[in-house]
Amino acid sequence: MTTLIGVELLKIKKRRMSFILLGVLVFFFCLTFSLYYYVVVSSGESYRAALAMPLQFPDAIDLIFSTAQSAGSLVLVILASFMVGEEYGQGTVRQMMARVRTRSRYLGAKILSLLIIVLIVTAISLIVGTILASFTTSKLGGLSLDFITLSLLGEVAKMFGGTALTLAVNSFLAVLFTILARSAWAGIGGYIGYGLVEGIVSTVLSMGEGWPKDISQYLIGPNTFAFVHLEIEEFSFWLPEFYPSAIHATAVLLCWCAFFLGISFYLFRRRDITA
Amino acid sequence: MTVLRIEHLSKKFGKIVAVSDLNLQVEEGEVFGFLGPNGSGKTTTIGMILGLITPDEGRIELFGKDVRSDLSSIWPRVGIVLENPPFYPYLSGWDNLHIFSRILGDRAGSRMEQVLDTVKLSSRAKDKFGTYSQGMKQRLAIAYALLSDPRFIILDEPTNGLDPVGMREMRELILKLREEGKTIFLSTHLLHEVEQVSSSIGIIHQGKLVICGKTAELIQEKDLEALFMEVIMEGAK
Repeated sequence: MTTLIGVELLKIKKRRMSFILLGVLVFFFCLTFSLYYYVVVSSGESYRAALAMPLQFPDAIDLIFSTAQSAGSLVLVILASFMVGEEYGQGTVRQMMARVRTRSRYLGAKILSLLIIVLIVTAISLIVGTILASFTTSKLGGLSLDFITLSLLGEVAKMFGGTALTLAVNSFLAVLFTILARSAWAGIGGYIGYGLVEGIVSTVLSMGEGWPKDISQYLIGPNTFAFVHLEIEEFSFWLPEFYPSAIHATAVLLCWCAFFLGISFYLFRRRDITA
Repeated sequence: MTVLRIEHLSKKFGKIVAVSDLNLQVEEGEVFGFLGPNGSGKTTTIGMILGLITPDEGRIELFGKDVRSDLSSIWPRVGIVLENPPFYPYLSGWDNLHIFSRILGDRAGSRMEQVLDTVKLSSRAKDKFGTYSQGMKQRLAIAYALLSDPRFIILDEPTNGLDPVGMREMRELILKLREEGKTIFLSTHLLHEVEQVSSSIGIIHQGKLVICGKTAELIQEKDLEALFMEVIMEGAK
């Protein structure tokens, strides 16, 4: 298994797309922070202090992880889809399966490699976000490290883990659609389609009463919010109506991971690999 | 010794019968020419031998072991050249080979230089696979098949897309491998090639093996092309 994981990581390292996607991730962070910064500096004096908060530590941690979730998901969904889908497109899945033989090991190695990439993307996001937030904090009021406490570090660790879990769920969703249609584009399309359908379903159900209203508590999107808001903050103007606990969100997202992976493994093991 | 034994092999895709009650065996040291027109079931049969396609019925044995059992000990003894050689276009020929060398258990890639020399690809080994000509792709596929110094080599349409020079090189390589005592399962629709290198022949048509035997015996009265056309025309009636 370690050999197969090594092979998968080598393939990711050797392809240009990986570095372009890394560039997209960094660009997305720069764009988000610079646009936000522009809004703050061009706003009136009376609003400036409130608007500047998300760009200053410790509130900036929210922005770092919410950007990591959105930009990271985009990058990882594309990467995951191509990691699996291009093997079908190029026919290399036949070459690999004729050698690896155990299909679960082959797909398992891809999933574990993807998890390693998820952790790397989350870490890069945190580093890039911290650099940008340090810059905006110093520009908008002065950078001090007094806000760093043990409880804050614990919160950041929780948000890091939750963000990685969110990215993993989205990647596994893309992998499922890719295997289903044997195409990378189906993985990307499936992720976008799921996001749209979930958004509509959540909105419609939230307008109802009783148990249908509670269904959205078990969907992916609403649970990802648990990991983009510091609990030690007193105020946040964008919190949704349903705000899950970290335990609830973790349990729900893990269930979705198991569901997506379960179907992926089942399909991959059962189906013939034809030319 | 029987290297490959196929018994009562059948496979359907929906209502289409791809392979029907196929029986054949390949003995050690043989070059077995597996002939048939396009869509006759050759690649499906190879897919089933390699475990890519699950048969509906039947049994396949490699070196006396059922292919559905654990073949990890046998697998390095089998070399494979798939149709339209599938490799990673963004990796060099060297990196592609190294990946499969690692999977086959040779992390250092100790035979890579030797097999690249054999197929005369050493000078372009560091170039990306995506930049290779069709002939170079086929040669890399042969190098890959020889990586583990296999005793049995499966070649699925190895001359696809090759020019006459490339075809001749491939033919010479197959003859060389035969001289080294390798057993070869050669799937193709190029009759002339098979006639020159095969010791046994099987002709598959519409999923059924219609003729199987020693090449010398089968082409005693008529040449392979005439025999092949006769079989195909009979099948069409």
